[in-house]
Amino acid sequence: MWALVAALTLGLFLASPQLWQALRYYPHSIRAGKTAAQKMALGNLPLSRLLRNLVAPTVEPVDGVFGPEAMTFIGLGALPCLLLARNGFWWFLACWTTLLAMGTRTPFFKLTAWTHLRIPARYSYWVGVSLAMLALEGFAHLPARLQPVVLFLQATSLVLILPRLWPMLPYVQRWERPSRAFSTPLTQYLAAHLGVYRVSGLPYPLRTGQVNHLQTLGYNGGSQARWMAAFRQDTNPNGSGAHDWFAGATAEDRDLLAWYGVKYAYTMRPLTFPWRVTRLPHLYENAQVKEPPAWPSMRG
Amino acid sequence: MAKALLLLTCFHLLLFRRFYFQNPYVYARSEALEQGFASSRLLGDSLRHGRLVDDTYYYPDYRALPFLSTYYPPHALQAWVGSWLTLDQAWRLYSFTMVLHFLAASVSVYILAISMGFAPLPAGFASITLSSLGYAMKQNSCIIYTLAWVPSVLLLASQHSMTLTGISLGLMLLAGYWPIALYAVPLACGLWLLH
Repeated sequence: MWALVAALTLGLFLASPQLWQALRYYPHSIRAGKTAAQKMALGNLPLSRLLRNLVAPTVEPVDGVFGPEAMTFIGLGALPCLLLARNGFWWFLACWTTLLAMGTRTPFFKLTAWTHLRIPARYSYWVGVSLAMLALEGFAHLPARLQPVVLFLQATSLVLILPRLWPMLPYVQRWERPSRAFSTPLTQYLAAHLGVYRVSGLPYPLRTGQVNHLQTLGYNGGSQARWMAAFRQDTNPNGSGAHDWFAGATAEDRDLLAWYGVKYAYTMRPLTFPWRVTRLPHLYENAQVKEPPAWPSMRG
Repeated sequence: MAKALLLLTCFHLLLFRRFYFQNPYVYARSEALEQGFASSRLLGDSLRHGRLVDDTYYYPDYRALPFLSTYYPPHALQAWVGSWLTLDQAWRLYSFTMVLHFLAASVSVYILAISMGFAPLPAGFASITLSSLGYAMKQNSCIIYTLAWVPSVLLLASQHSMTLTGISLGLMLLAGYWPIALYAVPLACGLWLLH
């Protein structure tokens, strides 16, 4: 028991730089205090998808999450080995995590909601781990002459099927060399004109602005700070992730944008005064912009 | 052992054949390019100038967000080295770091399985199965880093290996995908107590 405590202490000590900062930040993020309904807003998997992914995995989106969030595939050679597995711990874990991955489709996630993070589909990883452990037990009980055959089948199925899951075609962008992706007429124009101001709505893959040193509206995904959600008027419990102020997720407020220092907006929506057209299509310049406040000053 | 490691390397090369032999930019899309690589670039620039990363572009609380893997040594190292390289070279290093985690996971599981008394064939089966779960095929580096450590944490905990369990646990948490890593901790404790 003392050795376990020592191992945990060592692990937590090594992770302390991240743990310390994350735990200080967590109460101030929208992740804190989520209700069961908010945790189950996305990714409640049908049993049929979990079972299908064991034999014929698909990356097709399901209940609002990417297909890979529902992935239980452990290789085709592992499946017959499950018939020989008897370990009660891993069978229990496989069944329990399957029920949790189903989210709203069973009562179990809701009943134990305080123990879970968001998105039930993520339990499909633990379904996979449990089944893989069981398959390992079953493999060890196979007759010795069958083991090379099953191992070959397992390796072949993994080599043939896994590359079809990453990249998750066709639900993903075309590949691009970073030197081209991050050097476009838009980035060149903004590099010359943006200065200390912010830009709204940078398109993929420029959205974070980090490679081109362009200040954006800021992150408003699932771990965004409460102040950011309030400022962006973002009521989505998982964060809207909107990069374009004018794309519907946030309200239009000219004074607020001017105060926030948004000098440029790249948007498909035609903008009117105080926004002026630029020589680049869909890029507008704010005629009434003010110097942007620093983020630390907005935290209060 | 050398033969097994060679076979695991061959399996790895076959699994990621498109990346190694056809197109090093095959994964340059979606979250990996837009968020993982971009934030890694910023981290690398900061480290090169000898300061902690401070993002004025996108993440107001960069260092507090575990999924950016800021303190994960392999990620920080590739970010620092990548900051001296061109964008394309840095991308290749970034994606190589991701892909290499699959090989590292399979080798570590194999060695652990052998040390637990498994014969080479079951150890090989464990190695390729646990390191190559379908769920691990993600386009986000922090998920790949984290999932690469989970099998080692579980196997080491079931072996009561205090120091190695602690180190693996720490690195798994630093890797940053806490929706998985946080559940691995009680599971590892359970396995420790059960065995």
